[in-house]
Amino acid sequence: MSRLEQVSKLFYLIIVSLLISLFVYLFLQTAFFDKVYSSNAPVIYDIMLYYLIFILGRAALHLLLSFLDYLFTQRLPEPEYNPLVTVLMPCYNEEVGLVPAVESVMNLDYPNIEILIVDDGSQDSTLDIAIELASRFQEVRVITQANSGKAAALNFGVSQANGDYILCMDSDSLLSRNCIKMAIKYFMAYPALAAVAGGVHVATTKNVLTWFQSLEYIIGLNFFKSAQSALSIVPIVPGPIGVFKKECVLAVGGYKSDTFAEDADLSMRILMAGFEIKYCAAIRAVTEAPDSTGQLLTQRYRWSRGMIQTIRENIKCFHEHKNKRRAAIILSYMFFETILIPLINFIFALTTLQYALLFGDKMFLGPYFMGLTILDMVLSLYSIVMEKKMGILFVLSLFNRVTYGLALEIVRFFSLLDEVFNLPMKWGEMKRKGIS
Amino acid sequence: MFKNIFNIILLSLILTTFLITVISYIVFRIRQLAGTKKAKNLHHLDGVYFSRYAPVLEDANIAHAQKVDAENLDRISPRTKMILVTVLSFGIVLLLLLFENHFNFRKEILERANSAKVYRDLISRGLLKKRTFDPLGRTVEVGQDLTPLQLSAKQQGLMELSKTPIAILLDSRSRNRANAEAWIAFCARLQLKCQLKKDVPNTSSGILIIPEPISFSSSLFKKLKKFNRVIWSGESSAKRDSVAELFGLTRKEGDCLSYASLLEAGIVAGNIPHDEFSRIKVPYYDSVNSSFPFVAFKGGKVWVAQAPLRRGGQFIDRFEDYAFLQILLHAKEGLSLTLLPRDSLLSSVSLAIWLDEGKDSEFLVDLLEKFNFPVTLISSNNSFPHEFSHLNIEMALNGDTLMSTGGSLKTLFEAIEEQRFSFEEGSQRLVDGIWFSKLRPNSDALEALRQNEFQYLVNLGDSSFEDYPYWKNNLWMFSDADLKDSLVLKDKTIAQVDEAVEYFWTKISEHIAVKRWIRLFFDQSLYEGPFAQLFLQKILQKVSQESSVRFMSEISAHLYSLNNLVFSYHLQGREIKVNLVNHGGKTIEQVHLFFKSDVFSLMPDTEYALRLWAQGSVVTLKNIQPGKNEITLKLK
Repeated sequence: MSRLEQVSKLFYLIIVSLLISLFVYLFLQTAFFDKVYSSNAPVIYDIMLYYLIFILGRAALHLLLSFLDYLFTQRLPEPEYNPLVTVLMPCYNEEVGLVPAVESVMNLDYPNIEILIVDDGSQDSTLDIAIELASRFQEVRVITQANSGKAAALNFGVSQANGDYILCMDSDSLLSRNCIKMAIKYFMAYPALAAVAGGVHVATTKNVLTWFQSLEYIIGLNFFKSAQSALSIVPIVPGPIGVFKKECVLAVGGYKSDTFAEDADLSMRILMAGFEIKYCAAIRAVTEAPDSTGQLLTQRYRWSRGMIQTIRENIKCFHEHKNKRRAAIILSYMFFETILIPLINFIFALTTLQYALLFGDKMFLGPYFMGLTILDMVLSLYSIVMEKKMGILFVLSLFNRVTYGLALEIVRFFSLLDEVFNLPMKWGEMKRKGIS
Repeated sequence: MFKNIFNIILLSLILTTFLITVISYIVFRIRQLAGTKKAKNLHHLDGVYFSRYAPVLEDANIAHAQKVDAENLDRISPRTKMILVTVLSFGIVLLLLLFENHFNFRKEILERANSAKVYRDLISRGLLKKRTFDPLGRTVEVGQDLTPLQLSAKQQGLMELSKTPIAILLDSRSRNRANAEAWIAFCARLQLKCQLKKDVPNTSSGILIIPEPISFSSSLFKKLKKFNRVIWSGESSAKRDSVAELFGLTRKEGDCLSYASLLEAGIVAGNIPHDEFSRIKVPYYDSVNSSFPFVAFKGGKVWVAQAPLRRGGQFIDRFEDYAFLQILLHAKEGLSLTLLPRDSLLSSVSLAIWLDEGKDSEFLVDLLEKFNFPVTLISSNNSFPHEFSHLNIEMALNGDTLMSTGGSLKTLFEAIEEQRFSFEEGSQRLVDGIWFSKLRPNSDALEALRQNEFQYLVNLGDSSFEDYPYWKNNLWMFSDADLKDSLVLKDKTIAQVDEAVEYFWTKISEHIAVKRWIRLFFDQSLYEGPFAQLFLQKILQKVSQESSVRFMSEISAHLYSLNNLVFSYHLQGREIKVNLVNHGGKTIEQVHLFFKSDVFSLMPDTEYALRLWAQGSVVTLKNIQPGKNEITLKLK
């Protein structure tokens, strides 16, 4: 696709998106007009209307930034040399997936890599398999430690890495062939860059739950990430795929083990320390997604509590940062996006239910959720075009807000409550679909 | 319909999601906290990842999966169970909501049918009547300021004067031409016959007007003294002696012709007419402030200190002209068209209870149920207090709330109408009264009330209506000193409830003794204090035994009958001839006439007049037939 074609496509998308946004705004105005301007309408109706308009504006802003990121990062110069990149693989009882994971890394099109397998005191044959792999491939090194958790394993790996750049991945992830090459391009083009986040995609879309997750990933993660990338403040480098500059990781003290979201914690500290993080859509990792309600609940509960813990811990050490303004902005943004907006969504959902069930006022329910649904449809349409995803996701976006999206809001709310009351929690683990 | 169904489906989806998620979460947390969640046998590998990089494992997986599937052929997998539970929950919730919606719809239809019946009944009884809003543009006729009754009285007066020649005495050097021309303009406006004269007419049937400043010869003045129907118009101090002489007064040296001296001489004096209009200012138009001057009359001789205003045709039917018309009539026959001052006509007690929003009114409902008191309720809230709906109690609007809403004339009109409808629907009685406790109505509010055909206002001084003649003259207005229970209850010398009741009742009796209308106003304090509620109960018990207790609406109905009356009187010795014209089509059962002190002051025997006045000046007339009624009152 030529540069001209790309720009034309973008402008076309901008116009379509703006028209759709205008339609959404007009719809909201019409739907709420009677309620808002009726003297009997409760004040909460006004607040919800303005909240919807705000959410619409927020999405439009992200859309614009996403365009800008797309425009300015299309063509980066080829790197002058290929620096050594250490691929860090922390393993704990990963005997099933380790061999394929190493083989997939060996298939990457980057010539100068080192694969560092960190065995976190596995109780199965992971270490033996790793040693065997090291004997098969000269790029593979194996180190082991007593079981201390993923963060400690990662820190151990970082300390032992020979490369200036570290690719962190989960041992069950499948990477795109060009991921390291693309990341190095970014590092060469942006000297202040500390990390490049990749896009995570759902590998196994075998039921409606995984389809919804796929939609969530392309909208919630990839779409918002590309917008954040325009400002170089991508707040989370996902665990399945992320390339870091080693010196930056060391400068912020590496991974910490006091949260359930060590990847988000590291990313936040990097940003608050003044470094930049970008997102590259071309760097992809496909990963298994939970395909049952219980597993999904476990994963999202852990993520939500992890995020809250991360914010709390970073507030605690806020005074350590030199650039307090930047640190404050990053913290506020994270608080806003990961705690406040989900909380408001949940409260408003409850409010509509309350009015519908207690006061029999169902007429407000429709416009509120329809407003959000149309917004989801606009974003999914955009993402489907940009990511060349399947059209079924667009259909799913019709139901997302009142089913899957709502369920996640509820889980987030409960995890927030649990964290506030400091209820005990276990890590929980997702079952690997391997055989013994 | 579609919108409703859509909302129900949406609600079902949301509810199902809520239920499933919350239940799943609870199970998840219980398992986590109990630590019972143990990994079962590991599951099998599938997906693109393993099929690409671990084909051997994938084959093994497929084989294993087939084996497990064969084993579990008859079982339902957990995933299928979950889907079934979700779909089933959705179905149940949807069904329940559809049922609820259907029954609600049926219920609404039933309620609608019932309320329509009630509404039709209310409308047939004259309630919930829609009034016409008049935006009061600049083109509105000024004549509307006179009431229909006054216009009728005016027509009658004009008929009386139509054949009476009016002469205006012009000074020999025309120095009083300006004043004279004002009278000419006035006569022209009222289409009365008048002529400028330089001499006193020989005929005795006409009226002579003497505008100041004037000089006349002694022979001319002698003729004037003999003329019975004279109006002296002006207040030149130089001519006070002439005026005094004209009235048959002997002025001592140094005396000035004052109200007191005229009253002492038995000459009625005061502002026109009978203190009713001291200042007139019509809202929405260029204001015309005319202070009606001192006027005195004796028989057919009248001294008015001012001439009518010289104005254009659009001011016809204003109160000034109405007042001067009465002066002419008085000069002709000593008649007056003045309507009775209403606040003196009733000697009754009415109860008003202020309902305070948020306060427990249960005890009040109990009391009213027990004693069946005739009371007027004023709600501090704009909505009807439904706990009183079964009592059939008269409601009055809360003027303070209305004033605090503010807004234009139209806004106020609509606010009053809305509240009136609400109260009429709730109480099933006509609502035509309003109470102002703290705030005073502005001209917009008064006009909005007038257009809503309100009949009485409460708790306002006369001064509030100076700018609004309609309310001052047309409607009932209570301005008596109210007897607030709070004043009694706050008296620290009172220790027992019976003492408070006795003290309070003494005050009421004093007012009743002087034939004043009494308003018992129970404000918010009835909810507070050690014996406030008991006090109220005892007072209400006493009041209920008084035959003179009335409803507000009864009073306004009484006033309505009075408004159909035109009243005039003529004093002949110790007799008063009363002319009553009943403009209504029905017989008026009873009318109280209240004679003001000036009537008695016309009597030559001042001492006798004062005695009469002390005895009471109210006369009750019964069965006033439609049309003219002439009654002679013989005073003993």
